Amino acid sequence: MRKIAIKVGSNTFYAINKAKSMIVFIGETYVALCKALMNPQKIRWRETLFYMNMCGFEALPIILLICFLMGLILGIQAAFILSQWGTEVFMADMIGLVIIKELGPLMVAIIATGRCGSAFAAEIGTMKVNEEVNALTTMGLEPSRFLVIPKLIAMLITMPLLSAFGNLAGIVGGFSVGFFQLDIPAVTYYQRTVNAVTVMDFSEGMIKALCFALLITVIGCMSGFDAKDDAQGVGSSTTSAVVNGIFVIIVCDTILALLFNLL
Amino acid sequence: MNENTLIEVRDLQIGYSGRVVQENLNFDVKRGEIFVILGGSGCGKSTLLKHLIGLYQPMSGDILIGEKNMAKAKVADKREIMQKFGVLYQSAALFGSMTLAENISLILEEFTDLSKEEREKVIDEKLSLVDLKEFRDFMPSEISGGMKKRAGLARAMALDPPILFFDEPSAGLDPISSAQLDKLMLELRDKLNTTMVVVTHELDSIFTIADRVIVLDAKEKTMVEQGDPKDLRENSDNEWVREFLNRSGEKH
Repeated sequence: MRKIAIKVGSNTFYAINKAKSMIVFIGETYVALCKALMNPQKIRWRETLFYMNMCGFEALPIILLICFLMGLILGIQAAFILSQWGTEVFMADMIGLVIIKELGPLMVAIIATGRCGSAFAAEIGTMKVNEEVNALTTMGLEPSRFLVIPKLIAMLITMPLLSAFGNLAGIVGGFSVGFFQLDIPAVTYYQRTVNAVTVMDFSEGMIKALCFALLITVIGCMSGFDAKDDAQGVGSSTTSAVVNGIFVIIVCDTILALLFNLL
Repeated sequence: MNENTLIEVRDLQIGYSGRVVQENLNFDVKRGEIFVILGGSGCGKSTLLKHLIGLYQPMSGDILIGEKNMAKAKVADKREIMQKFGVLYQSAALFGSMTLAENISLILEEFTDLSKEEREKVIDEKLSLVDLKEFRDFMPSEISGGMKKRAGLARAMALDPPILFFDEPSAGLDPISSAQLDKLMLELRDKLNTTMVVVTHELDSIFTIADRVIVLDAKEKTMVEQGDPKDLRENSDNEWVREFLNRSGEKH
């Protein structure tokens, strides 16, 4: 019993310390971002474009496919339930809202965590092992400006765009079920979706995408900086970037969903 | 601080996670000398170097570099002090996503107002010093370990710092590359009057390059000797130091 209490206690302290250091890191990143935006010529634009390509363009096919399939699955389940009351036509409203407000940004964030968060952690972790992070520091340069800001800017630009494409693919997935299985006319489906989804709903999804972009970058980079100086350390940092990233994104999504419902 | 002294270490206690690695460290590094920190494996040589270059915070004591105290400097001041020296890391620590020229250019872009043409000129000059001019557009992964060290040295010298720190420069190099690097360090010191602080336990290098050494001892947790290595090899009062320096020093 005592052992369990000690384990729970130490894990709780570990989690609290981790949360504290994440808040500090977010604060430092915010300051570095503000400084960078005040001095845009100091931003490493070449690296920023590289990460935009890596996290945005290269991720697009898998995001379109997964979001399309997600819309398809939602459509199949919705069709099964709604057809019992003859309300199949409301499927368009439901899928439109669920995808745009919730599932689109969330699925994109989970994929981005797996692709980019892990890549950020591995890259910075490896640079730490190779003493490149130390080299930046002793050159009198700020590692956060060099290593975090280009990634953050790239993610803040690409995540909302990817979410918008993901939303579209998800809606097309739902539409496929409505059109081919339930024989809902395309125009009707389109009209119902457009009527159901407001600019506020779309903005809600985009705000979530921006928050997720910040969290994925911060957690990925922080995991890299926290990596132990060996190969195993880099592996663990990559795993923790993905696991912690997905957990924090879902917690953040819950908080945002509650907040937006209150507004 | 004496005009001829570039680095002054006073009552330094270093370590990490509450564990003392070395204490009561007192030494000076003079302008234009090659100063070697030596000792057995695990005695804290590299840890001391990381404290000297500001990567670790000492437990107590002072590290004066020029007029500034690295041990008590705030982050912004540390960055200013760091621009006075270059560091060649054990792994060379070249940025893997950049060519050799870009590795040097990065530091010039950040700290100078040189035009692109002027930067290119400096890059060529630095790479020529280490005999790597024709490799300027190579990625670090495309060159050998010895070449990486030389490129790392060229980058460390980009801003012509008065002090260069070397962490185990011979580590991972074959004897010929190691000897070439020693020769290069001596040439640079003679040509540019650069002060060098070197961490190593390679006796061949020590007897070739060192003007003065300090010897760290893991058991005593402090420096047990300082002076001319050839002199210490013969006349040190400390038996362990004589043994350490004579292990392969006999042939010199």
